[in-house]
Amino acid sequence: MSDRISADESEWLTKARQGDPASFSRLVEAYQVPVFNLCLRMLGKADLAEEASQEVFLKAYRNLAGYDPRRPFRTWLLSIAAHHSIDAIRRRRLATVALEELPAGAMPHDQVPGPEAAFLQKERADEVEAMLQGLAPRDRAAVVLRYWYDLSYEEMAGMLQTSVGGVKSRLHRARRQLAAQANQPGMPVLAGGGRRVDASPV
Amino acid sequence: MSTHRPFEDWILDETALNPESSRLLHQHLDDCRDCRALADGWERARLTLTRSGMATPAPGLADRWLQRQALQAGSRSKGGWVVLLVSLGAALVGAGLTAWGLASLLGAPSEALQSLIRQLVTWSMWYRVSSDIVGAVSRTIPSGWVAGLGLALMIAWAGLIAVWLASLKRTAFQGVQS
Repeated sequence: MSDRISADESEWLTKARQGDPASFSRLVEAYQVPVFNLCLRMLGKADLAEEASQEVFLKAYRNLAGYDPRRPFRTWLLSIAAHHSIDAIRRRRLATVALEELPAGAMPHDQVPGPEAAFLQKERADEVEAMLQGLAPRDRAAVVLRYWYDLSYEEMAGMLQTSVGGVKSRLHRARRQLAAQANQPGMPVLAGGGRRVDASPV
Repeated sequence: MSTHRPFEDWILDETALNPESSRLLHQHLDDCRDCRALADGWERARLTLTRSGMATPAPGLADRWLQRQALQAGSRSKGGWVVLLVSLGAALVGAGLTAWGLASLLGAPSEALQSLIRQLVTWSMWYRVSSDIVGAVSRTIPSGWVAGLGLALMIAWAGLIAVWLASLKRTAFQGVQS
């Protein structure tokens, strides 16, 4: 999804700022996937992610007056989602909770899976969650924003309220931890995702 | 200083290496088991992350949000009415008491003034008694303790103010900054 807001979205935003929740619900429709995905990757459970997504959109709706239209709406929403998820992890001590299962409807985008594909998706989701759960909340947020949203270091620094150096430091620490976890004996290996022989950085 | 240092950074850094650095890294990986394990581990982790797609919520999230918003708006509106009614009630009680005081003053000014003076005298006596008790207690404990207690109270107050400011910052500002 592009950071540029469409004409329709701009109109919905204007109406929502005037207090029209129906217009904001159109924005919820448009941005539900990135917000839900971020909450799911952070919290690890689809029901918690659903709850968090609802709260994030409510928070955004109530604070629309504080949104600067010159900045990307998506980034603003993701910033709220990241902070909300970090707070939720701290509040509920969810750092060690694993993703038990992805319920129906909470599955990777753009697929209608058959039994085999569903099994692979589930396995992949479990792997990702198993990897992410070991990270500290802010490190986890940095990894999620980097690898699912492809944000720049500057954007991430703005969202996580830290410096570019701080973001790089968090990512470096997280990668080291993820590498150590991936080398642990119990860690499943992705199909086709074996060890790269030429381990030059990418 | 670890001899793995630049190589570990190169492995975990995402920026492309120049040919010379790349050659040095490959050379090091052939000899160093630790760095080889780090490189392999990170590659596996990176593949796992990058192959995972975006997850979608169950259908109808926008509708559920709209219902929730309406519910919260309703309860907020009710809460607003409750606050308004309580405020109005308190204002009426205050106005009634003031009117009653004024009526007494205007109806029998000398009695109202006498009552007021009696009240002031009672309060001043309570103040003096309290001061005497606190003074007597403070004389029975060592002077250092009094100073320590005062300092502890000041620190406690400062801590409470800091916690209040921090919570204000978190709840009012964080997460909604554009």
